[in-house]
Amino acid sequence: MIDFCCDIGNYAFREWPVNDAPATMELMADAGIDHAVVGSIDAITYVSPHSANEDLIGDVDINDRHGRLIPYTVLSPVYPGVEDDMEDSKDLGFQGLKLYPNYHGYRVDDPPALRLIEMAASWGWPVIVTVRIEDERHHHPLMKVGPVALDSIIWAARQLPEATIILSAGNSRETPRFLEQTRDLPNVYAELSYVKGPMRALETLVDRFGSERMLLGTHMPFVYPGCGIAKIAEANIPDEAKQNILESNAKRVLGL
Amino acid sequence: MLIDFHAHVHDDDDGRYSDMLVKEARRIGIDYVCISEPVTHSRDSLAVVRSQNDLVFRTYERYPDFFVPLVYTHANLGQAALDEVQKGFDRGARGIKMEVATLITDKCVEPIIEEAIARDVPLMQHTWHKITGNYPFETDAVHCAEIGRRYPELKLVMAHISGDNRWGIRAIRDVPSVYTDCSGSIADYGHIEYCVEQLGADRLLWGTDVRGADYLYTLAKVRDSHLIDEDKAKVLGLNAAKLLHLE
Repeated sequence: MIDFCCDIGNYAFREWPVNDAPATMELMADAGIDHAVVGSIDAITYVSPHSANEDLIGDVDINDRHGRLIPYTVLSPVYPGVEDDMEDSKDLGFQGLKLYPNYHGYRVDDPPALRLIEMAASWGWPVIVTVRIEDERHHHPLMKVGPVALDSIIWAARQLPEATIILSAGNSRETPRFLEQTRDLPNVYAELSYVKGPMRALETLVDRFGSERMLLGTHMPFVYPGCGIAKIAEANIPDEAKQNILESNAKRVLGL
Repeated sequence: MLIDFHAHVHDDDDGRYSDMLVKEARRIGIDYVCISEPVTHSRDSLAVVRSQNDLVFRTYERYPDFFVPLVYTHANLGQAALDEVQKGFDRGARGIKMEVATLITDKCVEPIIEEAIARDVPLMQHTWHKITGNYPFETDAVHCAEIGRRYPELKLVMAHISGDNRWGIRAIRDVPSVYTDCSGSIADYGHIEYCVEQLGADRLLWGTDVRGADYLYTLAKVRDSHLIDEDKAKVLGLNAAKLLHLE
């Protein structure tokens, strides 16, 4: 299994026991996950995220001897010198870009973000756009961050059809709408960490959209990894669809 | 034994949804499903409350060995609310459900609480703590704690661990008569273990909030937790069976 929604680090608003690469890999092993695309949690709330990327890659380099973690750099397209941070990320061994538009204060359909996505695409890097990181009802009272407007992600994907764009943490309403409105874009995917319902959610999604553009996402360490896996692995859908969502599609995106 | 303590059937006029629910729940190995039908858009309509309860009991009558009905009421409707509860028990209810028509601390709820105590049945109260602001009559965990202290003989179930589970657990941990269910979309890593650590394994009930939630997603947060097997069994069904007087 390959997990497309996993983060490592410390979260500004809550403590948890899984905050480094060794603990993450232990959790992955317990859940049966072979590889995980990982970004830095610290970078989400850093104004200038890149120093958190450097911390993450240090942790991964020291502790991940078998290449189980696939690091993505978290950057803000509107921060001065972000192109240098992109180049540095490439040199450090990052393999993709992860964006949090509403945490870093920009729109993904504005020119700075489009330029960064274009840069990533020119290197063959996939780009993850994260809609939310936790339920909006439970944010810190002084830091209420709304979900990213889905239309902005769809618009960005349409502007840059050569880019591989992955919707992350779209909920049960957003994810089908996103898949519907990007049907003609084969490079556009959705990871399913925030699809938590309704009953038989996966059956409905696979019936409507097939299984080729969906990816496993657990949202570790925010969420029990088993929840994201069970709803796919135990769903009443064909084995081929399960295989696609749990692994094959991710291999294609990652070029494995 | 696997008991979903918190599920809904919604707009199921032709029975197709409940047929699908039964099929999916049985596929997963669930023995009983507790159902109720709250009204969230109106506080004042007895007709709507009756209609929702009628849906629940018709569904129950189609699958009497599988569904466990809770009667729903709006306490602000006074004697009519109590009459509706009593009618519900005549049709097989094993508990009472309340949503967002009143705060559980409102004076008008007292007769409903007393009825639950007299019948020795659970009273399930929808509860959430939202940083975005609760509905005007949406109960918070601190309200449940207050009622638990005032009525220690009441079997009060605070639904959803109040959404923000750390807040909810903290609010009720010193009120041993208050139970909670872990239904809904929240699956924060470690919160099931934390809940059992703080409240004990006898006070947590597994629930889903189907149809809004997915069975497999909500089951995994308890099944795949690090609870010891004995505690998992309590949370997944034994506690509910005891509360509901099920064999």
